[in-house]
Amino acid sequence: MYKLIKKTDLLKVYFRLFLLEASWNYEKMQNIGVAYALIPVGNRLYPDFDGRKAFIGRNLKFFNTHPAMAAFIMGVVIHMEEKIKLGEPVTPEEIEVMKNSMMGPLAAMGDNFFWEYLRPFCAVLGVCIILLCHENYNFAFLGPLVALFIYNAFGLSVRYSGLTKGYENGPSIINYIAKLDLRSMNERLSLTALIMIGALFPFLFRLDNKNLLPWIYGMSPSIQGLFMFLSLLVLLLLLKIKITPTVLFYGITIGIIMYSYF
Amino acid sequence: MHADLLVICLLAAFLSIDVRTIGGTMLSRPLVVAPLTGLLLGDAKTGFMVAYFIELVWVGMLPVGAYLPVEVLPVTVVSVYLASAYIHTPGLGSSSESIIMFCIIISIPVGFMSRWLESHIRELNSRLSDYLDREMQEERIPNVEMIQYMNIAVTLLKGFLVCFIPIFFGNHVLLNVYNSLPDNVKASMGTSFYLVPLVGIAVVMEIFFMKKYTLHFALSFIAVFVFSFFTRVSPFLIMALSIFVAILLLYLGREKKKTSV
Repeated sequence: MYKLIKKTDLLKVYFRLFLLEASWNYEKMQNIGVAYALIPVGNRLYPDFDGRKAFIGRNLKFFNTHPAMAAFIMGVVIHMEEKIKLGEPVTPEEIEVMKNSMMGPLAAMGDNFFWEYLRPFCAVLGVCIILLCHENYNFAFLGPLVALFIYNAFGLSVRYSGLTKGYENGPSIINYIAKLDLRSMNERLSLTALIMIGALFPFLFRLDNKNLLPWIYGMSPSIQGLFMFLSLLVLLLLLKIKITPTVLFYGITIGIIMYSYF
Repeated sequence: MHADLLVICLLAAFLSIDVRTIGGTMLSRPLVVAPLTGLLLGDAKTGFMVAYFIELVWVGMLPVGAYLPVEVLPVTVVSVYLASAYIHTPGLGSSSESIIMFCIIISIPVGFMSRWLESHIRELNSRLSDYLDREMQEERIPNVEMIQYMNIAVTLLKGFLVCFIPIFFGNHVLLNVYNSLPDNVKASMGTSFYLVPLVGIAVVMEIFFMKKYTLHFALSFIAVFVFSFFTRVSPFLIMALSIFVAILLLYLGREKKKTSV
């Protein structure tokens, strides 16, 4: 470990990985981003022309995975490239096979955890804080800050640990990834979000404005909450029969406009 | 006024780099962008209102694989700018909810336009990738860094124009459009501003709903609902309490799992 590669190189790769998808294309997807991220490593390992050219050529192959989970693969690639340079029995073909076998499962894991659970969770947390401040927006800035903090606490640390652990452990990183157990994290996030939404629901939506739905405005806040809860169940039913949110958005608006003419 | 516009569009352009790396940070989400734009325009309240609305309605859109969702960043920036400009226009005489709703509806096409441009940029990227391959065959080291920075410059330009053009050319036209709407329509848009976020909560519920947690959800709703009949508590206290209860339940559940194993 760290025989040829220095910690600063890993740090450079870490920051360059944020631009992984900047040159995303339909044929080879993230290939330019990967080559760009690994340039500091190539410069360190191969000062000569031929070596560096071959290094960049190896990394300009098809690549596509979740941007945060890509750090794991990059770590292993750096580990194996260093071994090639040190003369240990690793061939460039093995790197290619490793990349191709890891990127699919990691993409599935990353998409599922980061985009289907963590991001909506952070968004709901932030939105709840903003909605609770609806009388006085002085403290509403906490919402975006909390969301940013929680999301990036996961995102940045997974990237960092992926890169360093991937580099230190090499292909046996798979055991470490299995131990992360992101699937059980999904369940934890679900439970927290459900309890939070359930408890806060009576406070989130208040029909404060007088000329909005006058028949419901006269009632007590709790009854208003119940009314909103029932409409939520109806909306859930509509989503279940595959009506998209955009259609519902326009549908509700047009429906209310038509209702106002009766 | 144009200085404002330039600053806002530059901000949008810089944040549009993050749209590409959308798994990286949440900086380009409406939840963060809208309050930031609002603060720069001196109207944080409008920013927060747009933030929760757009974030909730489009919370379920995921950039999985090669799929490009509608880009909400330009939608957010354009609607915050227009809304805060119209709310402070004297003599308009309608509620700010109605104006915000109008601005959001009007700026949704900008998101589709931005997505269309993005797909063309990606086709351009394919050509650049081919160019790199040709360089490799001709025994030269391709300049990957230059390609990458060029792409970022193109993204910046796109992010800037997609916000600048609709605001610059649409600002006065759209104000006239809003003025010419019947009062009924204006008032109804104000109402739907309150109801549409429910769609977002429904989407979130669909994401997080698990059958075994039905009881937890129902119990927490009923408990707070009944409690709110008798006394008034700070909702923040309830929020903290609910998260605490969830963590407690998870902790207890973990202990049980350990003992059963």
